[in-house]
Amino acid sequence: MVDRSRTLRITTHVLLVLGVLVIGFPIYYAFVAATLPLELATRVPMPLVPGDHLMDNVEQAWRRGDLGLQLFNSIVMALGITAGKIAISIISAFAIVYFRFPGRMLAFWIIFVTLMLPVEVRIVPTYEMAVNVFTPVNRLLEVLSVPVAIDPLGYTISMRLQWNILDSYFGLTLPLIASATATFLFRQFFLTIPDQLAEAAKIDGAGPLRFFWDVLLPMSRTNIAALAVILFVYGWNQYLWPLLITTDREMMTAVIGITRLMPSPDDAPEWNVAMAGALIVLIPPVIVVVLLQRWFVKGLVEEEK
Amino acid sequence: MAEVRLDRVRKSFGSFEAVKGVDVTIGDSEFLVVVGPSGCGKSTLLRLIAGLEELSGGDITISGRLVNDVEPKDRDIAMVFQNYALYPHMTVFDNMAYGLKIRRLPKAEIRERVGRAAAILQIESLLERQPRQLSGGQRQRVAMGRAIVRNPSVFLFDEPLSNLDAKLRVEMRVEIRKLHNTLKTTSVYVTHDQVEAMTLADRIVIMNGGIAEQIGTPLDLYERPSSAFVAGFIGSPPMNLVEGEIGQGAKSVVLAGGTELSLNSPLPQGWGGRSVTVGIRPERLRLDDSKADLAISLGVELIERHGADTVIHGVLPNRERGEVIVRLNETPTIAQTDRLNVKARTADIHLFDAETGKRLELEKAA
Ligand SMILES: Nc1ncnc2c1ncn2[C@@H]1O[C@H](COP(=O)(O)OP(=O)(O)O)[C@@H](O)[C@H]1O
Ligand SMILES: [Mg+2]
Repeated sequence: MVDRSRTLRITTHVLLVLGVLVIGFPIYYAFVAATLPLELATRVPMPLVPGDHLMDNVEQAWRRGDLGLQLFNSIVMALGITAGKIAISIISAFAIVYFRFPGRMLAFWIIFVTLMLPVEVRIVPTYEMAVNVFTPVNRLLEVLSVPVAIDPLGYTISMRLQWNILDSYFGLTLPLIASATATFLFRQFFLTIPDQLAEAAKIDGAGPLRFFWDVLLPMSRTNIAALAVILFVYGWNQYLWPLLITTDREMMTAVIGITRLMPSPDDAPEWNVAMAGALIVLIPPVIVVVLLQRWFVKGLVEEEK
Repeated sequence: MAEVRLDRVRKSFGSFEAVKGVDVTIGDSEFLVVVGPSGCGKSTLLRLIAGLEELSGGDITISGRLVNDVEPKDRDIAMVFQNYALYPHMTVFDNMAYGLKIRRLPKAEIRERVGRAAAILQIESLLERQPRQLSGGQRQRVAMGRAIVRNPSVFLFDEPLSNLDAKLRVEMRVEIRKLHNTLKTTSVYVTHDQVEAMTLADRIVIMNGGIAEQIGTPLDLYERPSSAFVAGFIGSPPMNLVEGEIGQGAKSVVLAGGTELSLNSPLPQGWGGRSVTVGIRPERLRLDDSKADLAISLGVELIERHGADTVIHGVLPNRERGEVIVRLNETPTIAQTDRLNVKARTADIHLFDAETGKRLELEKAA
């Protein structure tokens, strides 16, 4: 018995170490590349020990990639997506669990079905919407051919509404903040809260909003923190959508910015600078994970009783 | 002042009728216990009084005010739940103060009221703790504290002791009654435990399938159960109920299995041959009784010696399932295999119609 559990332990440890190596090695390799001067970084095979050019490369990457502005944009976008997703999903879950209204289950299933429609799938219509938020309204007006006013001379004046959100923080975040997953998580959590708690609050004189604010929200703290970590990383890593809707350099995000540090065939193959840029962009999500990981684990492992 | 009046109160969930027309008036400072088996509609009735369920019919009046359409918070009631329903992220103090804060009472008054309630319930040392740091009994005290600080006209309790262990339950039961003697707040208390009902209540409503079977003082229910259901629910061990028939000539009752009990006062002539359920309390069967006029012979199946009393499970002759329980407050020397001759008085015999279960009045008949 002892022997068997020992082999088991050794095997699991070996597997874990291998896993860490497989995941960790590319990151280490990127780090090494970021510390080397150009000659060493392009030699084949590349050395495995760090060099002393880290600060040079970082500075180059920062300047050439305009990373300061882009990191700022990324942070705004990731925070916007995180806050927006949590706010919308917790309110939707609250409505679905605590209110009885016609079409409640339908609403829930519609939200649930959107799980199958990530940005990549709905990117064309979403882009069309970003060009003009009122597209559906305009279409509807066209179909119904609603004349807004008829001129006495017989001209029909039709109306088109126009609101373009390309190249704006709004455009970067808004189309991404609906979240079926988060709504579902909050719903499941609310369902575990005994009905009597809501009834006690009702008798205490708390209206629905007060109950939400004073009781549900504080009780959801760990869940919110856990979700915030996942959603921040999700928001930070967005690539396709920002690529599509930002053309203005001022609005570009860091994940897109580092692709512009990648050497093109005609340039010197400055992989050391590209890797330094990648490392910089890696830092904010790492900070968020490290800061919130205690909550993250708590939120996933134990539901507050 | 705070009188609660229920008038033909009904509640349906879809096509299922959970409460089928209950009439009862709970007097000022009265402690009314609603008791009955699980699913009989007790909680629903309480929740109707609280305003947590909408009436399907009838009227509810609190302190003379019709409250059918009044929100729970405006009914001047407080409720204690079985699972305590404390706010898990708030301290004990905040749990108790929450309702007062919403009512925008001045801070000083909130502190004073919570302090006073905590003193009554002896939880002053717990005020800064969170519910999860408390034992079940302490949580229940906090839940009661939350009700007390509001100083409502009516307390509503829904099985508040069911989640506690047996010993604590007995202690808290005594405390709740003492608390009532001090505060004298009109109370409605729901339980499925007839011992709790008998010890706490000024009056009891015993419910069965959404109907109030009987309303009366604990002794009323014990001495004159209005139906076989009530007779079998109240008392521990509960009343013995045996099928039987009124003898030809209406001068005796014949128990299933053939034992004939001749009554010293005859029943109405028309009753001869009628099927009945015969009831007698285990503690009204005795080994020796100079005033007894009835005798029953039993086979002994099991003897439980509790110390203070002895409970004998006996069986009528010629019957597999005509069990009769005898409770003696002595410790007789009998062996398992003995036959036992027990005595009873005609006055202690209860008769119920076999079909409707309704009580047949012996005295009136006589
Ligand atoms: N919200 C509800 N919807 C449907 N049926 C209910 C609801 N609440 C209670 N019932 C039914 O009404 C009956 C009485 O319930 P309840 O009052 O809780 O019984 P108890 O006497 O055990 O407290 C039960 O059969 C229960 O299933
Ligand atoms: Mg109940």
